[in-house]
Amino acid sequence: MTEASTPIGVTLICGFLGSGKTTRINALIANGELEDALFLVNDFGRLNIDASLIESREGEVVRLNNGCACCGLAGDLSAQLRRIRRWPRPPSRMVMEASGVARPRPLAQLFTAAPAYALEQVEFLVDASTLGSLLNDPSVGELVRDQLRDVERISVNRWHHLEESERRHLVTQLKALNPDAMLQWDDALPEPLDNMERMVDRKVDRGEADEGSRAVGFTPGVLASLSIRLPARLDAGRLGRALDAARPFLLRAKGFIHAGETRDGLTLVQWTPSGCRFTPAHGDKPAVLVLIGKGRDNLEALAERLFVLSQMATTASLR
Amino acid sequence: MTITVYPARRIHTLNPSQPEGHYLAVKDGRVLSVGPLEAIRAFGEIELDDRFADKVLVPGFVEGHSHALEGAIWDFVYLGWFDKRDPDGKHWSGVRDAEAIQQRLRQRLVGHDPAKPLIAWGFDPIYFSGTRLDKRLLDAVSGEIPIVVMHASLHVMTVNSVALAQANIAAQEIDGIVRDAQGECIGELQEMPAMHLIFDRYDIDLFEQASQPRALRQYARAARREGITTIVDLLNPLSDEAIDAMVETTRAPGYQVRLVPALNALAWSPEAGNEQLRKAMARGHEKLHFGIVKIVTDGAIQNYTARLQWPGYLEEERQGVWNAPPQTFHDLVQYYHQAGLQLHIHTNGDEAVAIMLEALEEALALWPRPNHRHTLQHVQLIRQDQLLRARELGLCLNIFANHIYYWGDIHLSRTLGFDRCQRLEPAASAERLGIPFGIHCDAPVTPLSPLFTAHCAHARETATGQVLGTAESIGRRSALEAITLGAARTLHLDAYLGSLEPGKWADVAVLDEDPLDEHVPLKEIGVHGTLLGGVPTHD
Repeated sequence: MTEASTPIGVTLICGFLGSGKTTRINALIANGELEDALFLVNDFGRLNIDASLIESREGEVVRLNNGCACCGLAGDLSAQLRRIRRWPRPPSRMVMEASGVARPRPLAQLFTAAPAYALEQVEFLVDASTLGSLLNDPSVGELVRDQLRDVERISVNRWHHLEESERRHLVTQLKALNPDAMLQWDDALPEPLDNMERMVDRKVDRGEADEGSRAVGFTPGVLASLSIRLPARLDAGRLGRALDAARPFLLRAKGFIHAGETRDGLTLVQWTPSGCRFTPAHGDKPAVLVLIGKGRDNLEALAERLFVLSQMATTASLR
Repeated sequence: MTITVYPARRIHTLNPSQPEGHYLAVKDGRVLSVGPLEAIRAFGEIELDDRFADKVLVPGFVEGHSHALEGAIWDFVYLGWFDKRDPDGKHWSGVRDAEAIQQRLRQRLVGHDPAKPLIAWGFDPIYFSGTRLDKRLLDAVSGEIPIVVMHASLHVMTVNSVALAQANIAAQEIDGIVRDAQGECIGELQEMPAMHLIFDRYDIDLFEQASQPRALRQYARAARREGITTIVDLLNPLSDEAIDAMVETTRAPGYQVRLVPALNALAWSPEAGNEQLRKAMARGHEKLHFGIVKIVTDGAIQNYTARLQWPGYLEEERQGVWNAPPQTFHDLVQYYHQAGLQLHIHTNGDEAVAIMLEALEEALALWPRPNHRHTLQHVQLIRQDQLLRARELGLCLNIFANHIYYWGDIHLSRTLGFDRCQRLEPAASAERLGIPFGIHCDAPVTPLSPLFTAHCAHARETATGQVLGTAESIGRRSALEAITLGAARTLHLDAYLGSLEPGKWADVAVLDEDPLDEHVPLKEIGVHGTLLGGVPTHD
């Protein structure tokens, strides 16, 4: 048994899937505020770390060039914690991204009690634009409520686009679940693109009210495909976010765009609900994007949004 | 190469074109013929080996859902309710009261290194309603040596006072540390935060050993004894070390089963998991087959952690748990399906089945792929509409038939109630709908023994002899198919094994009695041995 002389100070970052945990961790790393810190990414070893920050890889631990390390060790958390504290040179701090289904309270208790660790801070993140649908989702609603009841402080992201009444409703919802929690209005995540995401949320909410069950899309049952021509240049990042925001109905998007950032412009876009890939392409292919999803109306609304993004006149053709 | 011919009392081939025979001819490790002797001679010189002349030969059994942990966990003291055999063949009777628990622990303390904890496994509190295993019971066994009893769920442990003191448990504030009305620890530690204090103090890792060569060899021994010739390790870390250990261990001539490990998808980002699996696949050989991805979605019914649809659990207001957000499962399905790999998805409760059917339907609508063989595992409560949808999607099922015996009584009285026990493990419905399916034991959760598993699917008897849902009982031939060809189909290996068909590997279970003989209970049929690639195996 080797007890470290100073315990490893732990910051816990909790929140449901998509609440902004990885963004928060990337911000902490980029800011370089944590020297000699280990970032433990426990949601299935996902290492979405900005490549420019990576200095070297040693097995499953990634060294970052600002003196931190990032770790996606496989295996259960208990075994990870035992291994890390027995490293020849253990980190002085640790930032842990909790699994989206983890309860913050037992995790906080774990780091308070575990030998060689000391809990310093617990952050619980909430994405204001998706909280409503999460709470209404019968498969995860109860879990999210339990998570919210566990914490003393809640950081709310993506709230700027909410109208005053919607913000009040959100506060009421959170206070009803956890009257003592301190609400912190955070700016860690980029805002959703204008009204796109709100539109998506509302339609999902309406779908749930109608069916009384889990929302599966706006227009039930109809798989549709729409191809759109986008001659103007488009920012890949903005396009990716617009497609992500359409997740409740969009199943796949594939095609080419003329993206601003690549040299000769042509970029292959492959979007699925699990992620978006941009690959530089060559040749004189037309910038056509095929959207596949549930409900033609939804796809048309998305297409309209993409046209606005590329700030151009439109020609949409239904396939 | 020579042709070896094994005459037998009877051969059930599971090949519909040629269901029976009396001679098994083997060449180059494969089935050459099961025809009459004259027909075999047409292929050339034969060598007659009549050691199995009074035995019944069937395809080697395929266990499609179990874990190599079975090969390591016997290093600890067995405290389960039911009788079991360890990989060395030793019989362990179940322990059914406090006295028996103490006695077994005391026996193992003889010669035990006092600096190390005595660790036990398999204790299932659901069978001990009314009495609670606590520290006093363990203190009576030893006041000097720390004792750690892992419960069968692996989510709870009970420890003695020495362990409580050495790990400084009383001073900690963790919800999972169970205390009495006076605030004193009773010795029970629930869930990881509380159990971590013990794991950390004694540096215990229950799973690490399961990837080591010794565990893999013990696992193979245990499997061979039960007539198994192909076995999975359905949640392998697939780390570089684990891959090396499997490649080296299985390549040895003395390794007498084929091993099919599955990547634990939740331990990797999809990109990294895919890369790691591709790396492993390049190193597979005839006794080691990589290519399966496992996703564990919910928990277990007897632990009240499976995700159930309405009306939920019979006795308790509990929701069940997800091992990750359902969206993550959804994304993993899309990714690995697109990557062309085969998915095996743990779904105990019907809500878990529903969520995964959605994900699979979307993946298959977007990226149609015939013959994918994605398999839903356990499917204990899968509903009729879900079965039909599974068929439409081309899925396979692997049904947890052993549950009927080991927890059927509990499901009837405490977790599910009457109706859902009628449809529990609906093998007959799977058969009626023509869905390819296997049945399994999930060792070390229940014992390795495909014939016993077949018995469960056929007789549907609980441990106390109640019969649950006769409408879902399958016949002997179907049960035999489920532990051979059916399971091979779920592993996408049916082109190579699962039936005794010319061209396939000559993997054989040698039985003392005919499993299709109605006069002999399936579970009482003795396994004489196996052949792997036509060669008789030895312990």
